Amino acid sequence: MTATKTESPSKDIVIQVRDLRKSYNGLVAVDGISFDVHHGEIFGMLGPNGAGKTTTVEILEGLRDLDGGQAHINGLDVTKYSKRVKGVIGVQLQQNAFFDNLNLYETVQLFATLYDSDMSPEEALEKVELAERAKSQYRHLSGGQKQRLSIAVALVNDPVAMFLDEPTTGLDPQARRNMWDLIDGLRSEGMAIMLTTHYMEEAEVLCDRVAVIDHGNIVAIDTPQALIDQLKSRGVESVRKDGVLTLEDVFIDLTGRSLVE
Amino acid sequence: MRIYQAFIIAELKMFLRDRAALFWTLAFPTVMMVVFGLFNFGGFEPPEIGIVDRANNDASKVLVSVLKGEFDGEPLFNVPDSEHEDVLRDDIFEGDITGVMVIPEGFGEPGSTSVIDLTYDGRSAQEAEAARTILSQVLDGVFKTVADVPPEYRVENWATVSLTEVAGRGQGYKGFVVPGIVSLSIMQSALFGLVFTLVRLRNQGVLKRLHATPINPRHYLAGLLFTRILLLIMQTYVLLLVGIFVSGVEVSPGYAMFWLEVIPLIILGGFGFAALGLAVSGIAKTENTAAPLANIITLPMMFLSGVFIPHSVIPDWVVNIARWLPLTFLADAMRAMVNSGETLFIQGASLLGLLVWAAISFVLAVKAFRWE
Repeated sequence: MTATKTESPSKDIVIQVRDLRKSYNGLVAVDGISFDVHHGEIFGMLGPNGAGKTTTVEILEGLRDLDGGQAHINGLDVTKYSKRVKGVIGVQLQQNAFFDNLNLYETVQLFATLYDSDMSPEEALEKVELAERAKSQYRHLSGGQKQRLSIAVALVNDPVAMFLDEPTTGLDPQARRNMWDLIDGLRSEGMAIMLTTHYMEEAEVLCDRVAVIDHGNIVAIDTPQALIDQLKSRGVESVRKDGVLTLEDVFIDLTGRSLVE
Repeated sequence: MRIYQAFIIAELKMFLRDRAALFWTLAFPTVMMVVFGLFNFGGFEPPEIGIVDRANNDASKVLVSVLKGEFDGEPLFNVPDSEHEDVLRDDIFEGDITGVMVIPEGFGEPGSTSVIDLTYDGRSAQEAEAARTILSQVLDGVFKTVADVPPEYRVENWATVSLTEVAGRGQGYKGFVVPGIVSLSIMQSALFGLVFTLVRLRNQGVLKRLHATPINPRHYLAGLLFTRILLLIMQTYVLLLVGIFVSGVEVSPGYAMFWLEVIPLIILGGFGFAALGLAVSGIAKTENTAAPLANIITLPMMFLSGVFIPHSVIPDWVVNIARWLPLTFLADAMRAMVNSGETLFIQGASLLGLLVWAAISFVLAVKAFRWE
């Protein structure tokens, strides 16, 4: 266990991860990472593709076994109580898909039943501004609408924690901004939100804290502003023409590589 | 229970909206059934004609020998062993033989003119016509040149052939192929339906999203199986009706309970093949490997399980293996019920065979199932 980053157990910790490890056929994907996510917080995992973000999230979602370490959500061990954990979290997967021939109302209704939830499909669709498309079939939605539907589905069980795995990848700038507004609005509902991204701007706009992750390790963990301020105090120069320091500079400083190839 | 119900309702909606799948589930076997019904594989064989020899004299014996091919080895008729007229007439009725020829007393005696009666199944008119042509030629030509016939029998116009038609219930190849294709369609629809649905949903990531909910695989799979079996029942009814109204085949003559009794047979057979499909979808990684794997399993059965190729034309050693295939069990039971009006309750051997296959497939399916 990495004692350095361990905080004293606090009541408002929703997601607690300690020394998490996972390998695939000898290839290390997650190499002993630890962090906490609190109520009402948006916590970002920022890193390039293959850094171990999705593996970490899918272990927490109960979709993968872990090789070492521990993870708790709402005090429940995610490996021992995976069904109960699944019942209290909201999930948006990276490769997000629903049944092609069901309309949005039916899709949300089906998932509400799977989560044994009483939330009405209208209410869930209202929250993501898809109520007027309730009768459309899933396959007729745009990319941004599909992502919003997946958030509506993730909300049906009033989750204590929400996992968003690259929620804006592949969206056009307009749809991306809509999605940011939507995610920002979820913060006020009080759940712990954990999101992965390889867009530094997304992390800066949305996240209260970010963990910069590379090769399965957390190389830095703090608020976006604090990470940038550290660079500024050391006199590091921005890679941008306008000279404004961003999380991109933080990532280059920490790993010697650019975030987006 | 709510979860099972929710999946069943969702699956039904999805299936009814998938017009293309609905069309192919019904259209392909219908076309196949109608086309195969047009073939008459029996026509290449010598007609099956029973012979009753009432004359029992030298002339009649020579005639019978010629027809049986005992002179030059080429039989002109396939002659069954029995010579009892009643037995042979029953055989016509059951569709086992095409007709019966009766050689009257006093056949071939000098100065007399005999009439050989050829009684045939009205459904095999063409074969009967062929049989009459053969018989006439034999009487006119071959007979006269055979050396052993005493000269006193050689008279002009000494015999003619009369045809008598009876209505039998033997239904020839059409009768054979309709229950065969009904059974084949149950296999194809159950196995391929499950394979393609699951592989597609797994590749899309839908199954993974379901895995992220607090349900068990059985919650989802039960709905999928239930819907598929409803579809199989509907499909079987439609194909049997096509058999009745398009191919003109009688289905379970005189036994209306067939239409209810066939349902447990469809459920048992359909469940086994659907489970096999589930196993294939678990083993295959993509649609590209799933299709060949499903074909490797289904193609041999299509040809060896007596669906549209009768076991009588397949070598015995192959039949001895093929009789253990699940589609053979299903087709045998289906055919016994459809053609002979037998009840489900005497198909014990076939049902047991299907049950064993279903159990094996189910265990394989549970082991192979993957959400992603």
